[in-house]
Amino acid sequence: MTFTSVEFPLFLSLLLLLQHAVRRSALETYLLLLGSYLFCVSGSLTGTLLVFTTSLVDYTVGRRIHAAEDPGLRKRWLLASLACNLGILAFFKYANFLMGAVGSMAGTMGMPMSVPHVDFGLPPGISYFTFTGVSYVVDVYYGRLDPSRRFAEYAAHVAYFPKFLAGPIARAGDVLPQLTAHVRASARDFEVGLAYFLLGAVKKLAIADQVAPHVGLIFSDPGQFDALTLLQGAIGYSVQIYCDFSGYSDMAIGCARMMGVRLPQNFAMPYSATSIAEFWRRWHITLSNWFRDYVFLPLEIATRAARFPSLRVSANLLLTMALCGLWHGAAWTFVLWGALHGAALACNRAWTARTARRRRTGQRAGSSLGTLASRLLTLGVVVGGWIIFRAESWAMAEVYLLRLVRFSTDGMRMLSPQIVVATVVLIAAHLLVDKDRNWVEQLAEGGVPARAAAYGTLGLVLCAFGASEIVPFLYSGF
Amino acid sequence: MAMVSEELKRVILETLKLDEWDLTDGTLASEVPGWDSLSHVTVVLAVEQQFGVRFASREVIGLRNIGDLQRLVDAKLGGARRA
Repeated sequence: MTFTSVEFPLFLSLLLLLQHAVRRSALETYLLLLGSYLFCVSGSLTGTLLVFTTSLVDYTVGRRIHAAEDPGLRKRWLLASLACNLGILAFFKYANFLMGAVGSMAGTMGMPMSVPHVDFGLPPGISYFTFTGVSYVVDVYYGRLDPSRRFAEYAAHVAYFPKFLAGPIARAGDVLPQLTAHVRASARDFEVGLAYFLLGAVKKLAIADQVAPHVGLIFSDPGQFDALTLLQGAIGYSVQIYCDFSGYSDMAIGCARMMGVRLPQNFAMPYSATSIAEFWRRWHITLSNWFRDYVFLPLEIATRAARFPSLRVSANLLLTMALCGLWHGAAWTFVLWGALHGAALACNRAWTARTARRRRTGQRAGSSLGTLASRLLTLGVVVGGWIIFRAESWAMAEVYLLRLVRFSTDGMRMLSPQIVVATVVLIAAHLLVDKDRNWVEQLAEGGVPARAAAYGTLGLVLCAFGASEIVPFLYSGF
Repeated sequence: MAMVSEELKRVILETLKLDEWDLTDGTLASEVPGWDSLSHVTVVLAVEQQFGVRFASREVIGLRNIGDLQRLVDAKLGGARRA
């Protein structure tokens, strides 16, 4: 079951009604736990057993770390939890990738070996619930968070169904206090939640799923299309992945909000960023914050005595982003995509360090032409990166990029009205909406006619343009 | 509550290439221009070098504001080198 399944509205309605019936009692936690585990079971039984196992391990480790006074013992507990979470992730997600890498390495060293291919199936939500567990235990270890007192509450946080499949990667410090306090949804919360859900459904069904078949066709064999079509495919995928994933996040935030729980924002108009650093402050915010806090900063701290500080930061950025790429999938194209963003972030850092003093003291105000150039350059890196990210192999990515750069005129030309219209809509939205405003929240404070018009328009768009063929959420496969 | 020493203010401002900024006990890194995740450890390193101290990873990760940084420096110095 996912947010776009036909049975999901029934599941959510039933859960909301039952939550209302048992409100302000200890049963509410168990109801949430039961509902979330039913949601997990509908995806995979193996996945559900893994969620339960990691929740039990991390809850126990959190209590032990808090109780232990010996630093060595605390560290051993931390390492045990990291080994459990990351071991499960490595086994189910990266086993074939790692064995393939070992096989290739042995082959290049003149020792060819046959590598078995095993298919365990990727348990739904594995990349998210393992990261949720890691952040919880690390936060307890560093004293940033008190351990959860009740297993049911912690388990409900980890398996919490709105964020289970594809985030946002909400941390225990944000979610647990809300679950333990049995927060109530006000009428406004319910309305805002519904608005988020509706907006997410429009992004997913009326935009992402409409362009998906055309993007898939172009990426399936880039060698047979001309450069203009390939450019259309790259832009189309940029539109698709944004609307698919931010749509999912909106629906997740909406579901939780209908129950009175506020999940962290995951997207904030990322394509309006004027630098790659700003892009990562606006794209998949909870994941970039996770890598910043649990990978980049510890790396920075551990290597701070390195002789060349600029080189240290650049190397740590490159490594962090390559790992971030690998998190998306067990393929070298993802690693390369991450490394490209890491290199872009390092270049951006070098550039901003050069101009920092002048900018901070107000001696050099950015011109609108400069802002436009920065935005276009950022978009160029992001869209180019999506080609590597989406390509089925590096060979396909190479063909795609070379034909695009050489502006090849041979090959088929295809014009996709869906991609063109979706791109125009997205550009208009990014130009018209202030990138730092949250219009869903603000709309709920407006008058009834404005709200009715906005929600009615979204409903009409969904009915008129919602795709009949629903594509699985892209990020639920990562 | 710790008063932020002039020496600590100076090393932070110099590292971030800022001419002036009001740094108080409760100031968060995110409120200071240029103090982001990319420059965070550079600031911490500059403070370590200025005061001749070494912080543990756990202490650096636990910092929440300038006051915490001042208290950490004070604890390392035993309160001997306050400006």
